[in-house]
Amino acid sequence: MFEVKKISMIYDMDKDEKMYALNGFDLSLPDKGIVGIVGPSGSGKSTLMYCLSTLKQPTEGEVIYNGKNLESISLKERERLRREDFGFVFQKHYLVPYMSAMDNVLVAANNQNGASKKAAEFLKSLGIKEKEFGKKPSKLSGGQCQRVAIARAMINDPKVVFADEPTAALDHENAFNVMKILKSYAKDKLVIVVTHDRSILTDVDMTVEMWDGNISSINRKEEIK
Amino acid sequence: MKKGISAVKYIRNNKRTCFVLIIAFALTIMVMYVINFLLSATKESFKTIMLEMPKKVLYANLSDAAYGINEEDFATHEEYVEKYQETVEETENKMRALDGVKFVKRAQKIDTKYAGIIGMVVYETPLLEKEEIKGYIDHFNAKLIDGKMPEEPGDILVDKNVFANRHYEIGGYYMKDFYGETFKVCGVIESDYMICVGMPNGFTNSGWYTVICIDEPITQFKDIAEKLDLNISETEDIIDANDYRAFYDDDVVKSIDSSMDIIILVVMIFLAVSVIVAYVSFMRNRVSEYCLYSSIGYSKKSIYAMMMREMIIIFAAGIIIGAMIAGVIVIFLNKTAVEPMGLIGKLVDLNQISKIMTAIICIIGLLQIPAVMTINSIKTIDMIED
Repeated sequence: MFEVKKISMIYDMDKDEKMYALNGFDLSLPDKGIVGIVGPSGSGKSTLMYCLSTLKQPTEGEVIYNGKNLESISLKERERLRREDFGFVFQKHYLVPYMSAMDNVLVAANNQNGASKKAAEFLKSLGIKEKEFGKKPSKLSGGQCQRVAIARAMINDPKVVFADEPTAALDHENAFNVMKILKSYAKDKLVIVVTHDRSILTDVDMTVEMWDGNISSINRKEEIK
Repeated sequence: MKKGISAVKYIRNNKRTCFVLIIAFALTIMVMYVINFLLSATKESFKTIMLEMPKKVLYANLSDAAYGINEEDFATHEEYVEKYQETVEETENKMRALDGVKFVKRAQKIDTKYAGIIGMVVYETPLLEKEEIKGYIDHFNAKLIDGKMPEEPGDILVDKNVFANRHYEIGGYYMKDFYGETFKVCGVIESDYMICVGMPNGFTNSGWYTVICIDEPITQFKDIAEKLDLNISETEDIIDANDYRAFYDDDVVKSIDSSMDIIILVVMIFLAVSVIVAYVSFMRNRVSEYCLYSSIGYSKKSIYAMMMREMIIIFAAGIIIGAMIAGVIVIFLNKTAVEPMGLIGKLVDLNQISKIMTAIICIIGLLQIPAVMTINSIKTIDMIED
């Protein structure tokens, strides 16, 4: 689904000492399954995810998604991909504070027909009780907020879910539950999880280890086994 | 099915903030409209006296030259006076024969005062013979609604608006501050023209004019002068629609309209500054929300459209509530203040409504500046996290 060719992200272009967040590497991702991108802080893992998801444009190189070079598509097409093909789970859940849990999921829905019912099913499957649908984020726990964010990411059945440090703000039990949900979704879709915590990446299909803007290793499930 | 972002959710979930904004806006509109109503009561009332009444009556005190007479042409003063009176009578007879002239009478005229909320107008009241008064008031479709018709010298019939405006009583003195105990109010009439009329009583400190009651096609004295070939100069003492029109436009309308325009401008500047400050703060608090929308695929155009829909809903609610409050207050003020003062209030002033709407549109236009700046500052989540 994703082909990355000689991708580089350079900051401080006008300075003598440029900063290479991504250092010109190639990468190929599968059509489905769960892919973990792991590395220490500053290794470039989030930058890679943002380049894949059209939120950032690399300084050099190409990102090919389903045969389409993401650097050559229009802004309108990038927005369409983010609306229809991609779902996002951010490290901070970024739920809209004045909207209820249900409305926070519905705000991302592309098709309002049946969206409420679908959102309710998602939320229930994620362990959010019906009486909590009307609660605002301030009345929900961190784990519940992250689960609402996951429901928002999945409401349109996106082909790819990008999850940036989805468990960073959660305790162990909630982190485990969130990963369980993402793994379940990854059965026939692609889920890309960026994290610095290896412990949540047990049983993933592919692990990409990053260090200082480069890929230091790629492990696939058969190899991990 | 592509959809926009709901504008109602923010308003529904932030009722207190939005309510304050709506009410502030509504009260501003109400204040402007009520002030205009009070000021325009003067304009409307004066309009009747200055524009409508002169369509029905005019006053002329012509010079010898207008009649074609020169005193120096006569051997004695008595001859001159005899010829003058003969000429005046002949001219008046010719006037009576004209289409559009209903009544001609050489008579004294006294003044009638009428005060607005701001300013005052002084206009003419003829003193006619008892048997002429009914015909005079019939010309204006006036009806006696209180008291009696003039019977004694010095009796004055007063229009009901003037009666209220000057706090007259039946049997009380008319224009006592000006004429002393010379004239008395004997009755009240109702018409569309605010006319007053009375009987002479030997009072000498007033001018003599030819009182001419007119209808279409006569609209001003010039129409009569042309038909009778009178030699009228600019300095003739004529009181007609022409005279009053200039005074109404130059003095009344300009001063009230410019006062009102200044009030609207000042109020709108304050409102604009307050609304802009409130909106800038309001948008700043929602930048993360807008960045989220951008990150999950909403275009800047759709985010801007949502902002505009929210703004329009709040403004529309403010306009509707402001109009309702203004309507109630204006009706109340009309009954309790304007009508008791004998003034004519204009409850629905389309001109003023359009000025207020124009000012609101300007404020909405100004709000585009912070809105566009906010839109341009929207980043995606990755940039926030950077």
